[in-house]
Amino acid sequence: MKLARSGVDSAFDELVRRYQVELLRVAARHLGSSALAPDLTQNTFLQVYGALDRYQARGAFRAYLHRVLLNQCRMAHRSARVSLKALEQSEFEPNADDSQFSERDKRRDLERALNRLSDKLRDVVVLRYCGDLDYEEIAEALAVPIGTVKRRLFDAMAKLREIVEPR
Amino acid sequence: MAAHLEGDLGALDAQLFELLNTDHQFDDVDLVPSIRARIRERRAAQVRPCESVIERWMRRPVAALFATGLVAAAVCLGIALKPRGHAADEYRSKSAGETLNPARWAGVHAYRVHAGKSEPLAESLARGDGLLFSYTNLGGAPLQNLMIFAVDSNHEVHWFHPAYEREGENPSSIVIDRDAAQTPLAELIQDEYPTGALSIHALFSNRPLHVLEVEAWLKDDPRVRLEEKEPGSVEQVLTTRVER
Repeated sequence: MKLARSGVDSAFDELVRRYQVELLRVAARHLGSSALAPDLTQNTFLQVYGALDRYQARGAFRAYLHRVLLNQCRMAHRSARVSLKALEQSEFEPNADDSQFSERDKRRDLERALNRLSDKLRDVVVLRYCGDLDYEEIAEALAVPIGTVKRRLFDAMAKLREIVEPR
Repeated sequence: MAAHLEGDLGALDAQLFELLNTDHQFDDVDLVPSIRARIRERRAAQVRPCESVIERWMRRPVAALFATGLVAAAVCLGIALKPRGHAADEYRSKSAGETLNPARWAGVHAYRVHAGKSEPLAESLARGDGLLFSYTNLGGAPLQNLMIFAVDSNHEVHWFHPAYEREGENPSSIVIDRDAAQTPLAELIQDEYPTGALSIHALFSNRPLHVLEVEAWLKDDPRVRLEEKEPGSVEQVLTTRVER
């Protein structure tokens, strides 16, 4: 990051290459659309590039990246009214070539359960499992206390379990 | 029961990881070339802002009097010019009555979108109109973050940038470019406003501010000058009316 700030182009390119896949995954899950993910991820890096010389390391750079990405996703979501229920159909259907019928069913059930979570709960699940962020990074990205992150994650897991395996 | 739950959650954790962390569809994507291309386009466009302001001015008769480099010099030094017919969108780098600060020249332009056409926002907008914004962030000490929101005649806050749609969120200011002149914020804002006064606030700041903290300031004192709450920030207020 320091090299990128001092104008070393290859350093910024390295930052992009290091984080682009996780941002793309998080954007795709957040929006329910792989098609929009590259544009939003690109806009995120462009915003960060525009603010490079003023960036102050107040926390994890990853959390900062995800905060900017989440803002982009919110704006896109508001503009396009992308429905996450679209995930239930074709976008993230399990591979039809899966040889084990029961495994495919489990994935499909879990996909649908994820879609039924509230946005608040789904955000923490996506950041944790797609982005691989730790609790502190998630707290920083969402601007909530760490305790809130842990509680939301626990609630999300309990809710998913309840949906997937109702008693 | 607790052990059973823990076991279940452990299995679920593994399933979620397998589902969400092993998505390989983006493994071969490389955004660096397209990002570099956009950066080059922006750098090329940054030569033009002063020229485009001059071009706009040259269409007005009064501007012919300033057809030397005077306008260009004024723009570059950060002296605010108030074009006629655009009373609602003025630049203000400090509170009224204070000397303009040439180190910072920050402001937004607002446009209403009506029947598919956009025009600068003036004294009124119709209830179904959309809003578009562009921002300018020039000077030797540009600010880094921006929020734009409106307060309607019922004192309700409508958040434009950042987007704030879900209860429980606390989004923060959007990051903005330095050396930006009339950089558009691409999103068309469509919202429902009651008829009556609508004040649109643009708040430029050094640190990212959060929606809930700004709303708390407004709740404490609806007439508060937000730049007094946040050192070094710049607030611009555009007032208009929502008509039927």
